[in-house]
Amino acid sequence: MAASAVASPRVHDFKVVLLGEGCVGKTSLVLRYVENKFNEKHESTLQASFLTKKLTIGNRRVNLSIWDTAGQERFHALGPIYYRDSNGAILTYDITDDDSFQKVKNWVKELKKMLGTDIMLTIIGNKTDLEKQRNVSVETAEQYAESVGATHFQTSAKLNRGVEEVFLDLSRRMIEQADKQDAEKRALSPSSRSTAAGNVVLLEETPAAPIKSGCC
Amino acid sequence: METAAARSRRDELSAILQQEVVSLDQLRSCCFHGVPDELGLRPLCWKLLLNYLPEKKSKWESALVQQRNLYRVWTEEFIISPGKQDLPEDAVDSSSRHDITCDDHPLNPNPQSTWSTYFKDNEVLVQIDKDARRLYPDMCFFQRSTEFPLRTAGSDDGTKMVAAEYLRRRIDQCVLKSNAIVKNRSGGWNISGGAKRATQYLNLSGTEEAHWEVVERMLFLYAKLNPGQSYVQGMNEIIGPLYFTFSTDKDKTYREHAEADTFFCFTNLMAEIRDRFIKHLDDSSSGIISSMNRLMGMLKEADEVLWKRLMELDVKPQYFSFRWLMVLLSQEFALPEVLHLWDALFSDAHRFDLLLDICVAMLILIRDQLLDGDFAATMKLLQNYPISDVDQILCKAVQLRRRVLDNLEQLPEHPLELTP
Ligand SMILES: Nc1nc2c(ncn2[C@@H]2O[C@H](COP(=O)(O)OP(=O)(O)OP(=O)(O)O)[C@@H](O)[C@H]2O)c(=O)[nH]1
Ligand SMILES: [Mg+2]
Repeated sequence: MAASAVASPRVHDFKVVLLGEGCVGKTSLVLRYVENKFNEKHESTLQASFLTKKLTIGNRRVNLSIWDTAGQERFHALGPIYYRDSNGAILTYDITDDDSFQKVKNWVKELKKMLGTDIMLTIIGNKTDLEKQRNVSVETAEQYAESVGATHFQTSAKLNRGVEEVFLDLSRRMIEQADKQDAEKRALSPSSRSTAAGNVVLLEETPAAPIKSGCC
Repeated sequence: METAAARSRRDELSAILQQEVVSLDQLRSCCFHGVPDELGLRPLCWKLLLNYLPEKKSKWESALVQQRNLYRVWTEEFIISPGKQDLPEDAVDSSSRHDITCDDHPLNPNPQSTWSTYFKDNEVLVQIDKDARRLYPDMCFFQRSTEFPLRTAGSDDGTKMVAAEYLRRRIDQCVLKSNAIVKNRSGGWNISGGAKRATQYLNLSGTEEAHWEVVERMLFLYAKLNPGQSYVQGMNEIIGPLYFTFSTDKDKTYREHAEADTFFCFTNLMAEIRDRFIKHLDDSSSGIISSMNRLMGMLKEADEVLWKRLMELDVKPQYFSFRWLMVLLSQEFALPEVLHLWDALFSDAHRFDLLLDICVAMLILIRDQLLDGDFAATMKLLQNYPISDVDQILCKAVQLRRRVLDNLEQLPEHPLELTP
């Protein structure tokens, strides 16, 4: 037990991709999270933009590489280069627009097909400040999210509601997943315990202490 | 401060435009270095460079009349009439908004019916609407109302209504329609959602149009007339600078017809670059992927070290040059710089080879920073390009082009020459 507490701090490099229909607020969410800004208007994203954010969770340091992708169907074919090797995906819909919720379902299908269960999914209903115009019920969305093993959040990028939590929760789950993958790898080849999952780097070399999985 | 070179260029340009038959070659080599803003000649130069105005001056008048009339006809046919005919009378009446969810035809899609086409078009329209509203958000220009709204003989009492009103209503209605579908699925009744949703945004009154609404109308017409392309995000970034240029013309008559003129120049421009917008042409020789590959090939020729570095970092050309090439760099610079850059792009006799040279130049100009950074730093640089001096970039691009031509031991018959 003590060993895990003193285990060397790790840096996780995680890749997160934001997907969802145009205009649901993907760029707004990321800008809110990374720069704590909100613009009433900003241009639509073409292809994708790249942002980064560092955070610390417990004794873990997390570097997020975030790809904010374009919503339109035209860019879909070029989408795989952004979600390939992603550790997490944030699928966003606009709570006032049911079509955008249907698009989330399509994305879930595609990600499951291409990436299996390796990728952690978060579904977000954005624009909760427009509650009066809601067209997607919370229950429907939550039920759906649960059925596909995703976490569901409601946010308002405009009012800065729930945004931080989304990335925190996703990061926690990505850490758990990375730990799980480490453990599996170690179990498979006990000799190569120091070469953990590809996305985990040891900050300090502590060869004496066995690296214990932080999970559970 | 005006340099001697700038003054002589200005005189040269005036002289070229005064000829009875404007020499496109001369115009190109003159405009390449930028059309001086203060002369107000850019709109005219672009109309010529984009082959909207014929070289023979005597033909300008009739060409303009003809095209502008044609545009009128199209707006009537594709925007105003569908709004009148396909919808119940009171739907286009300015006093009431008809609740079409009470009718059954919208939910009974028959592929042959005009309703079906109408609603398909509406999906495109909603998409355009989302982007047109967000065009150049840092400038107030597109949010402002226009000087010459397009008026139509609207409702029965003969009051003139602005054309934008037809599209506004269609947008309101198709949001209602999508709610109607939700309603069927879940069994709940929530009819008012769409009407409320429209209030997310503020529209102008029934007698005014905002510039972004004009852009929306042109894009919608373009989608109707070019069903193979329809609307693709990014087209808004192409039409925006054209429309801005034409609707700020110093000449009042030109300003009045900015919409029609923009539409045809946009159409001509798209004819040259549209393959980049079409998904199934991505891999064709004129598609976006081969443009990106050409760009990387040129970079490798010009600066192999830098090319290698980008490869090592796995900075794929898609990550930055997709946007550069697709919308002709219009998202990388502020509008005045974009206009200046487009002077040069439109003056390229081999459109749009120069664009690739410019992109390579942009990379090489920041090579030291690029060679220094990790993936994240590199991406951030490329997505927020640090140099705003377009002249510096153009000079570098011309140097690169020259080197290639020299290597080929060809005489540069190309009009792009570096002024000493
Ligand atoms: N009321 C409200 N508006 C929001 C919220 N988040 C985003 N918006 C607005 O929704 C519009 C679209 O936001 P974007 O962030 O550009 O949407 P996007 O998903 O990145 O769109 P694409 O880049 O086209 O895929 C903008 O006008 C935002 O100001 C929110 O939480 N509440
Ligand atoms: Mg975006």
